[in-house]
Amino acid sequence: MEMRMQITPWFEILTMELLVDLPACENRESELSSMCIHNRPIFSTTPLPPPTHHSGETASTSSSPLHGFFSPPSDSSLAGEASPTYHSRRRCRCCCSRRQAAAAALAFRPLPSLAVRPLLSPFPLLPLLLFCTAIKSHPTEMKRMIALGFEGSANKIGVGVVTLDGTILSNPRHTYITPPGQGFLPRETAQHHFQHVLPLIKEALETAQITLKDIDCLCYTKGPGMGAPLQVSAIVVRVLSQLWNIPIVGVNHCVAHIEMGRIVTGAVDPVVLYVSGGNTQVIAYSEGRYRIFGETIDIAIGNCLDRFARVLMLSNDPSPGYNIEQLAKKGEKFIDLPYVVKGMDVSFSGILSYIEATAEEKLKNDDCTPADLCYSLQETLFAMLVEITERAMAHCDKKDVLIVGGVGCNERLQEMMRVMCGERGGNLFATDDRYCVDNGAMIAYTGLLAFAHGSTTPLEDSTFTQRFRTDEVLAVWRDNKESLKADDTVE
Amino acid sequence: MQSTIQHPETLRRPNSPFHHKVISYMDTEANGDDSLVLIKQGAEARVFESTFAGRKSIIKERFSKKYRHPTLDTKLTLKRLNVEARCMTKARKLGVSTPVLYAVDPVSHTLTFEYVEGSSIKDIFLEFGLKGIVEEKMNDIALQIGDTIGKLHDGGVIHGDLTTSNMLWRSDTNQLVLIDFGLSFVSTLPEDKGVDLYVLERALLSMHSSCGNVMDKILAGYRKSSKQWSSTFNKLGQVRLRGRKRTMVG
Repeated sequence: MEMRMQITPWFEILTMELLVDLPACENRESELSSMCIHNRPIFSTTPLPPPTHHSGETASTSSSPLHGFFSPPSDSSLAGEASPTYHSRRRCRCCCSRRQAAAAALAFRPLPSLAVRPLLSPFPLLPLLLFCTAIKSHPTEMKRMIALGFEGSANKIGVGVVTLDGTILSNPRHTYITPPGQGFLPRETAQHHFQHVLPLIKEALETAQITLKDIDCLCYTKGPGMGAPLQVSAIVVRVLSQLWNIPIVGVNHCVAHIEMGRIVTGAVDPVVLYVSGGNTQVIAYSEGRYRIFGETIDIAIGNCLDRFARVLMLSNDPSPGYNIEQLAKKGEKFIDLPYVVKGMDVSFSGILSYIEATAEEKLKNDDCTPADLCYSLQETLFAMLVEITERAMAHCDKKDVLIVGGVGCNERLQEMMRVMCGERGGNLFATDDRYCVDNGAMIAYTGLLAFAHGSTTPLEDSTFTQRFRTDEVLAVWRDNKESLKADDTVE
Repeated sequence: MQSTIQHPETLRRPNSPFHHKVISYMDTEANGDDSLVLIKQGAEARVFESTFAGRKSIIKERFSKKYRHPTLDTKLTLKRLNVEARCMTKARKLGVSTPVLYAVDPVSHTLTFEYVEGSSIKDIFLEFGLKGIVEEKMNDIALQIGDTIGKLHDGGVIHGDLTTSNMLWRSDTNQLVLIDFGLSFVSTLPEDKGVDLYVLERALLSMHSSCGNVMDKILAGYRKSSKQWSSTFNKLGQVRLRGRKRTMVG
């Protein structure tokens, strides 16, 4: 509920400003705000206080950072009083309470009141609006397909620009880092994403050196992930889609990891081990879908490592897993921990409880060092992962392994997996943290694959969901690609 | 796929308490040819074809995993070797058809079994998927799978790794043979039985979705042979609803 209050005014301000600033918004208006962020129809219109500041204070103070935005130069028809769309702001009952309307109105006051607004001031958005309106969208010409992707399912917000052949034009990212001993909570993470998404969009487009007309589709993480952070990229994509008139493609986060790993490493048909803070799955492609052969039955491996890092009060910068890995290199003594493999599934929660319960006493009695604990935990957890991967390989008769996901950049895991693959005469494909860790490019690339095969997400379906299984996605691009390959060989 | 490889060093280790057993099959070999033929490399073990006291036999060697920490590796390998030998014998007592166990060697981590002529159910089902289903054979297989698991579960043995690669079809008698008890354990809880069946269901879905609904036929077979089918099926229903990130209804 509180989440909504923080986000909604922001969204509304954005929408409102877009209406003001876009010249041809009469026929756009209906599609623009016919749905609210909760995907319910917007039905009522409520007049807003007239925007006095447009021609008033802000315009006169040229030193204000808002200058030029609140006073569109010389075009009086766009200024507040002449624009009917500005006065009739559409609202829905679910997310636009009176309080929020008041907050939105507040945001339109001149600078001082903006600066003191405690949470999520509309500040970050203003550059975007300037930026968006500066470049007007043109009908797209199909030269090379380019997608802009937004990822924000966990504590990282990333924007990526990618072409269909997998070239990454830009891929900036920002991570929300919490103090040692603490994890990231949905609300704070979403706030972090809000604050960073705009600079990231600008950076991504600048680095990629593309104009808006080059972009074919906007991709975002539809799920799975934390609800509040997911909301950020969903909102941004909806707004930009309508502003620039570019279609949306919703992407499954897990599938994006797999596709990114495949294009970066060149693995053709591997068994995929997807290990991150929220997921632990052994996946292989079969009959049109990425099927889950084995997975964790309770918590994810990254979650297990992160929570153990909190016990030892390790730093979360750059990531708890990285710091465990570095500390584990100094470990010598192997401490016996539970080992839980059930067929092709694994379970980590018991190991975590055990090590959480015994760590303190063992450290106090000098039985072992924190490094020994990290070492033993890594050895045990990774041995379980390698074992279920190997079992899946034997089951599907596949030779190669691809490791994706944040935990995938752990070099000890890669080393163990490489030994296993070597024994079976296969290859290990792994990437470093640029591609392993959540990023915008993977979303952009996977969305573009789907887009190139004719699949888009209509605005009213561009929702996000915390539960979204890997095998729910029909991998249309895989089938076509394989049939294309088959055709090639026939020729 | 088949390749002749060097005799594993471990089999000749003289300090093995089962040394004589290992030697005995080599002595009886007609040609004195002591090479073993590698048939398959599974996730955990290599399977060789050989001869034991004049009979064609299978040697399953649980090899050490180099990626694992030595302490962990020894613990797991020994535990699974023992479990496999025990559960396999117990399953035979329950009337489940498994290969006859000839010898156990905990030092070289090998088990020696009877050689079963026939192909795996996985291959048969994959062939069905390609060439069309032979309805009669399919029903027979599915019924026998259900019947076998039913007997196993009623006797308190949980297989732990029920996949179609772990089932063989004895070609002369058309009989189902269950193998690979490395992850087995003894339990009478409906929970464990339900999970066991669910593992099979998922394996069928992921590998043999073109074969139609085999699981229903298997469950029909299970129902006939198991006395506690109803509590197991209830649990299976609950287990199916688990799984992370699954779309929830309600």
